[in-house]
Amino acid sequence: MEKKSMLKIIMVLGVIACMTAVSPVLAADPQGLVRGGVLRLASASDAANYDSHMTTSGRTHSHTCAVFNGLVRTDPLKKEVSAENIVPDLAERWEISSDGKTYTFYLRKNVKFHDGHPFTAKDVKYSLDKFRDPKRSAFAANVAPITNIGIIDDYTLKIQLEYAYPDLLIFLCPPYASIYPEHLKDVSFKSTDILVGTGPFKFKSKVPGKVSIYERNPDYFIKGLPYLDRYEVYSLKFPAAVDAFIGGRLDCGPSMRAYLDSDRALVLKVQKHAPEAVIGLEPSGASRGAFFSFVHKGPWNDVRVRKAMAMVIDYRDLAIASYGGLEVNPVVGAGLFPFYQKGAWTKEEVDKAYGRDQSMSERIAVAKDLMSQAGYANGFALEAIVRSDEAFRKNVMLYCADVWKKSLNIDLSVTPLERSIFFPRRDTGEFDVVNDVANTMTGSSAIEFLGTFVSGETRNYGKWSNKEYDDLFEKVAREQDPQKRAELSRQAQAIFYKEIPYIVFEGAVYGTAWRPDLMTGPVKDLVMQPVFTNYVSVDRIWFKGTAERWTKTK
Amino acid sequence: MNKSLQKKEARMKKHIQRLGFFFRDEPLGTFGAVLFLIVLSMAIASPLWTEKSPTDVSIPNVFKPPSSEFWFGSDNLGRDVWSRFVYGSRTSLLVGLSSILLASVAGGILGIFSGLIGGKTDLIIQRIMDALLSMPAIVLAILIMAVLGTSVLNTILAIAVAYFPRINRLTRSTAISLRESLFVESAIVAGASKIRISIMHVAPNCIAPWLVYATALLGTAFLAEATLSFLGLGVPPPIPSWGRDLSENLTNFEFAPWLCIFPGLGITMAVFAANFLGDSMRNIFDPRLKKA
Repeated sequence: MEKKSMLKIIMVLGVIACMTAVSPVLAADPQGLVRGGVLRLASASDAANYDSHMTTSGRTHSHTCAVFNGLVRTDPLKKEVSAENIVPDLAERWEISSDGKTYTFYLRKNVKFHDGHPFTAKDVKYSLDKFRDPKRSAFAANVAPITNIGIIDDYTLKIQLEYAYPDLLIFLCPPYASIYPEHLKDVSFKSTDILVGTGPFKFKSKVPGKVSIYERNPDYFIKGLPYLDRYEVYSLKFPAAVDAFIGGRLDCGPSMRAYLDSDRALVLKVQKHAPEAVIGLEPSGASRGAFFSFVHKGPWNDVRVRKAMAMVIDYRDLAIASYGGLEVNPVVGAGLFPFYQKGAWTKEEVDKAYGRDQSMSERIAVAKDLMSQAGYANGFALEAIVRSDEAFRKNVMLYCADVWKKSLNIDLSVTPLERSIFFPRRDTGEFDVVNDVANTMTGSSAIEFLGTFVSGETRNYGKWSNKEYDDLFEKVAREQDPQKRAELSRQAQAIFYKEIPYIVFEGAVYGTAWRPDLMTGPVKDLVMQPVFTNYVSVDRIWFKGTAERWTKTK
Repeated sequence: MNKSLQKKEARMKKHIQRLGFFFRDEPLGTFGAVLFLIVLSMAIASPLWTEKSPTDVSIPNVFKPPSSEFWFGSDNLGRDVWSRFVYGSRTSLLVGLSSILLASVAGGILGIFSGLIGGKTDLIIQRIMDALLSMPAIVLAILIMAVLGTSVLNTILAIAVAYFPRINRLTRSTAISLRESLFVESAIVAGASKIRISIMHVAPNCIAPWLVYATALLGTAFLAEATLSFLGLGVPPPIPSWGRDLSENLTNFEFAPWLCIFPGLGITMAVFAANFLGDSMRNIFDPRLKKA
């Protein structure tokens, strides 16, 4: 063989060897789990900030869940979020005193933040003190019974409660109660500099408006995790994100929790063009509905008017309007609590409270009578505000506008507002009606369902106030006996359904789609947990397949 | 009596003759005029074109394809797309015509004033116009809508403000050239006031280019309304608007294409009508384009 030919062959072999060396190596471990790969998901826009204590937005949690841990976490391999399914995270174990008022947490040792600082009890105290401060947390009410957080030593922490509070552990789970580094307390939560946690992925880079990249934390305290090499969050709005998913350029729908649930066209599109994708539509604990403002004075301040307005709605039609014409909705006519929840009013009871046990003509007659009694037989005008980027909320209000006009001569104008204008108005009660969600962190606690409407609570958008209800809520929070607690919850719901500060339209169904080879731990499929908690399983996600483009669509 | 009747008849004949010339010489303009008349009649006499309300929700009829019952199909709330198409013309025309009228009157008057007065006043006015012109019209309209909020009136104002400096520039330049003309100088010598000169001598001579430009801008005003509504910044729901209907149904295009096709057709129709008419107006009024 000539010298030149030999050289060529050596060069080709060299190039092949180099390519093999740099290509991602996906190794199967003894359990059959495949390591490596990149998880690509989309968020509708960049995160406004990285403060998980202040928001329920997936735009923030899709980032913070990869970077931060909680003291405890919900079991990522189980679907149900409950006190029984709480597992250790940064706390190795914990003890609860016999009176239920003291929790002692024993923290993991040798855990380091991504910048090399050791993790200690100081970080937990700093983070939880922030989490329970109403000025720096939207969920302070959920951990209101905490009176003191004391550091015993670097790895032991004691939480004192005013009264025994069985729901405490659930509320200390991520994605909300993230543990931030105390040594970065002066860093803005709007800056990516704050993305220094103990979590499975380290922040690598961000191209604003395009993508944030996180890479595997080799020092993650759970040995062997995460399975993925990289985690990427793309800023893409829904239709574009669905197209990217169909094209195989995303591994998970528009976001882990997104709006496939509210747009029939997107579901059909995924089904048609990516039939191999798994579509998950899961009822959550949250409900969607109309909050009446008690800051703005108007006819709706009269309970008879609110009852009349609730009675004339056909909740099945409303659900179809909300779901963009999708005729299958598992939670038509939901209540404040999910019906399966212990202590919840039954569907029949809620139907009766809203007059749904009567025919529509009977309901309209009763509603008209109520309007006459309230002095509004000729109707009145009011305005509903909705977020401009969420069509389903506007569609629901347009449906209501039609029904209320035809049945009660109520003129409802619907004003879509940009988020930057919408949120300040919603949060201060500056509206007549707002279509929003009675959100929950875990979707599993009576404290959360009832807590939304307690006087002074941030999520009580309409600023409704009822002392009897507040007193009952306090009793529910303090009650230890599950049976008695359920009974007190039912009494509080009786006040809620009598006063109707919020018409429950539907139980929120969250949906997303993911590639079929996306797995969580040893469990067969990706586990969808209620509300936003499924982000926390990102350290357990792995791919059975490895192709970058996974769909057949070209 | 007979003489006056004869005169009237002669005048009528002349008009018909002119119209005949227009049809013959400007076939595209004629087509534009017909389209414009259709849109205008839909806007003025909407209830005669359709009996159904454009806002009437009917959940059992969601996503019905075009049929004898729903000529243009129905949308995600079961609303009749044909009636939304008809009533959508009202929004388009109301916003388009009103904003151009407002921009033409305000921009025209200020332009004549600025051109005739000259000096520092002209300088200041024109620098303000420069500032407004430095931004693309649609961006300026979006900015105004974001500040004012969504309503029909605000949409009209936003588009009017966006196009007002363009008309101002045109009338100012015409006024400046007229200022130096013999008949204006004669009026000055005769002792006429500036206001009289503006109203009696300059304004009538500005009308032709003014009208041509305003008609040409009408099409862009229709588009601006559709764009603002498409971006969710135009008229608020449930008022039917072609732009909003088009934007809201983009995701449904694959499964219910009629929801995008018809509002798109409406926008195309109105813009074509205005542009064809504008071109013909220019052909008629611009002496340089007159046929030998």
